[in-house]
Amino acid sequence: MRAEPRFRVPSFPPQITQISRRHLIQLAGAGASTSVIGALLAACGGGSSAPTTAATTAATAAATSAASATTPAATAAAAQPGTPLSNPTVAAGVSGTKLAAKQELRYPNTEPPHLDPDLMEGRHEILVGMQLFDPLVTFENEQPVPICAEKWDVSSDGTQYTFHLRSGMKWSDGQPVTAHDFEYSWKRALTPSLASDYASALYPFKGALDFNTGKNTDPTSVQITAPDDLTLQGTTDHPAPYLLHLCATWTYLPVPKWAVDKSGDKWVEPGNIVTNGMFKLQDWKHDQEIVIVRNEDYWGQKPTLQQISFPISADPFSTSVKDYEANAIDITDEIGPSDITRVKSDPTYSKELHHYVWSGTAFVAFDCGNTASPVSKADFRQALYLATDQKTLCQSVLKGLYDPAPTVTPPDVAGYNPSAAPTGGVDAAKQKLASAGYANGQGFPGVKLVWPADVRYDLLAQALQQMWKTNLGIEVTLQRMESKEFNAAFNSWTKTPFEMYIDRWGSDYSDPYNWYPILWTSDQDFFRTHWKNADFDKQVAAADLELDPDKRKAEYEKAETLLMQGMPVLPLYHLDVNAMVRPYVEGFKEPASAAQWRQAFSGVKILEH
Amino acid sequence: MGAYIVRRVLLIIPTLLLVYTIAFFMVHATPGGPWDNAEKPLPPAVIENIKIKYHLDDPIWKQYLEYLSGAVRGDLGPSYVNRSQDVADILRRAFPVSLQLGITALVLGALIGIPLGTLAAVKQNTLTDYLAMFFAVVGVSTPNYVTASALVLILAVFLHWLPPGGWHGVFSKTIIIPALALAFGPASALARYIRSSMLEVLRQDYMRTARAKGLSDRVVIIGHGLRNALVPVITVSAFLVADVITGSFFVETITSVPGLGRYFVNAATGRDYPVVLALSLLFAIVIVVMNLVVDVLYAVLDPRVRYR
Repeated sequence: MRAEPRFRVPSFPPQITQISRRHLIQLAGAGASTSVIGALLAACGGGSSAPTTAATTAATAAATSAASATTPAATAAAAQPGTPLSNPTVAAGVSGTKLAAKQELRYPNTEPPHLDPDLMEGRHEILVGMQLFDPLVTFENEQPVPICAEKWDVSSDGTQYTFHLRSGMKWSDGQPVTAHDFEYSWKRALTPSLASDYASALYPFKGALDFNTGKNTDPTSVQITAPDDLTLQGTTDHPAPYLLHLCATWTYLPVPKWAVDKSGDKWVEPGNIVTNGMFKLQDWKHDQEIVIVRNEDYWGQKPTLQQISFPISADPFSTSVKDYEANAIDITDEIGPSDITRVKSDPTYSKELHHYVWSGTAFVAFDCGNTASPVSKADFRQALYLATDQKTLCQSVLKGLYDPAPTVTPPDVAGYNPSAAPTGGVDAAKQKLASAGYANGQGFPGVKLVWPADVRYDLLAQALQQMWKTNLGIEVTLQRMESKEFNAAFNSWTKTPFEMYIDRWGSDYSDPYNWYPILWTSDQDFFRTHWKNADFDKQVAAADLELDPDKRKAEYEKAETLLMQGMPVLPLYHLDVNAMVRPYVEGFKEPASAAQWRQAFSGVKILEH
Repeated sequence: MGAYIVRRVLLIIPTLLLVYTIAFFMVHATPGGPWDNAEKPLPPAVIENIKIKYHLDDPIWKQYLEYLSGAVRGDLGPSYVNRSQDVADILRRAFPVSLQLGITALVLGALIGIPLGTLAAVKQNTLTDYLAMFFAVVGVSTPNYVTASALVLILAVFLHWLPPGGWHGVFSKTIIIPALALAFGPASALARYIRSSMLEVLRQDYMRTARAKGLSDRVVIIGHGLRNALVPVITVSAFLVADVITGSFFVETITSVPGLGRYFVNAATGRDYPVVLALSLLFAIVIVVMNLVVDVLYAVLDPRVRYR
């Protein structure tokens, strides 16, 4: 080969003598293997010390944080079953009570699609919206607390509600808050052209359903009126003991008509938006940050916080723990299974981690009307339940993020009845499978399990497939669907048959009315289980009309027993929240149900740090 | 040359029309619509009303023409998901961010890749060459979200040198991690292209002439060698540029940069038809314009190239 012309190059990097390719590969191989061996040794050596540090920090954490419930058992015991949940406020981890000069909190969020109360449906807009707008009432420790409504009367038959509003309340642009604002907002939410997902929250009112579905185009047919500026009246179709709970939710917030008239869809943008709550919207840089500031003209108890900023991330589940560690945010309650183990074993962060119950349950739903499939047999569904080890699912698969659910209704909703859970373990499961006609899995045609893409469901589905194969010997095929695809399929399942899917229900407010009659009765059947049980329907109908709270609870508990016998859904875990809170943040209240977002920040104080 | 440019510009229109047509039919053929909500399924009457409001009940060819005529006049439609914003608002806000980030990433990529490639070519078959090409292969093979996550973990979480995310313009610390993460891909690609191009150029006679004339090494390599080696590389980098300036979903998500990247994916998953169509058109325009710019540049840089 002809000698290559050699160019002299500047001194940096220094001239290196030529090295043949073979030598290079030998060197690389030696280097790589030493580093791999070294890494293995380090991992083995380091691994043994981790459990002991976790144990000691857990002990100290339990000892020091007296007010924050770190175990679900403690929380469940403190709240009587059937008592709507109020998570305890977080006690500060630092000593002393001197307040910091700047009362500012940073809380992560995703870009909300809008901040319009009549359109709100998702966590991201609800958590901000509930700080900006004030409802008629809110609930604390199961008791209604008057907010915009000073007092209210309910007629003896339970259908006529009259709210007497407080005088002197003002919107952020100076206009007075009147009953007309509530009337306008509620009727607007029902307007068909607005296409509000939560219009059904207003259906208890007479005329609401017809107006919303277009059967009646006259808005005055809806029985919500404001006879004068400070009186709001509503008439319901039937007695609705839960109506006050609904009044605490976001669809029932007031909306200023003149702002909507002026700016149309863009009335929620900063500069256009008009609010009546403890906080005002100062800035909303889309995709970047939302900043809300204390409303200095607020009529009631002003929050200690001067400002809350919500840095926006496209996926807080994957970024918020890192942001917390890099000190860019003060609280995060979106911790995924990939981060939770690391956080729990970290000496600092494990002390800042709090575990709360949240009102909701995840489950597998069956098509009980699909006679071509084994899932239509109650014995088969019972067998699947008995073959499912919820504890392992929660501890090992979901890394302790959630609590196992023996029954469907969560602990804080009246009707919670863990004794209704079938017992017997895997042996009983095999017997049930035999009763269904598939002894030892012989002749089992196979079933399909689908779910909307979510990292937790992905793990669960695979674990369930494994469990059922091992314990029952049956084959399950899996199908993961992208979210809109799943939604389209979900909507089609009112008519087309399916077999099973994973989903969940979180309480909008902690009342059995948000569960039994909406989800499982034959005519409502929200989850399309096609389960028809006349006894259950009768039991729920009786419970719905019961006004005495103790009797009501007992009736719903009976309904729960019937529900678990029929097993249209297989409960997996109760929704929980794991939150990391900075030690200098005091008074944060993780909402137990979405309606309680209003109290989340109102008591927060930032201590000196 | 002028006639060539004019012809190329005119060709943009049928290209865009084709892209629009394909995107339109693909988007409407995908199962699931913008208002398929599982959480609180809407009553059919309500869905009917929405369809009327957004003209989704018109026959498909009518919707096709309606959106097209709107787009031509600059009205890109409302966003179905982000109700308080128009598509134009979203683009006006997010595109400059992606553009700025992309340009920064490209500059960084060029600053890393070009010297690396040149060095590798000049020191061919030495350790420098092997290390440089190893880096290039790693850079091309590692997905940019892995790079971004690693950078965030190391630089922001462990070392606390940089903020983990956010956006405060081009001249702030927040741009460093996303720009680096985005730059590795182009840097590696550039390094490899430059290396092979340089290797060809170094063999040329005029390089030997330049050296014989007594010019210094630096002038020969950079002034004579690199200048000629860059020309074929530019033609290849058109797509590179287009790819980077329209935003990367992963990097922008991981580093919380409010650019277009996330809209590409979220609009598709949310079936936000106007946003999807507008973004497809935007991406097509960027690619076509970049190709044209690069072709013209090619003609400018290499006098032997003549367009008729």
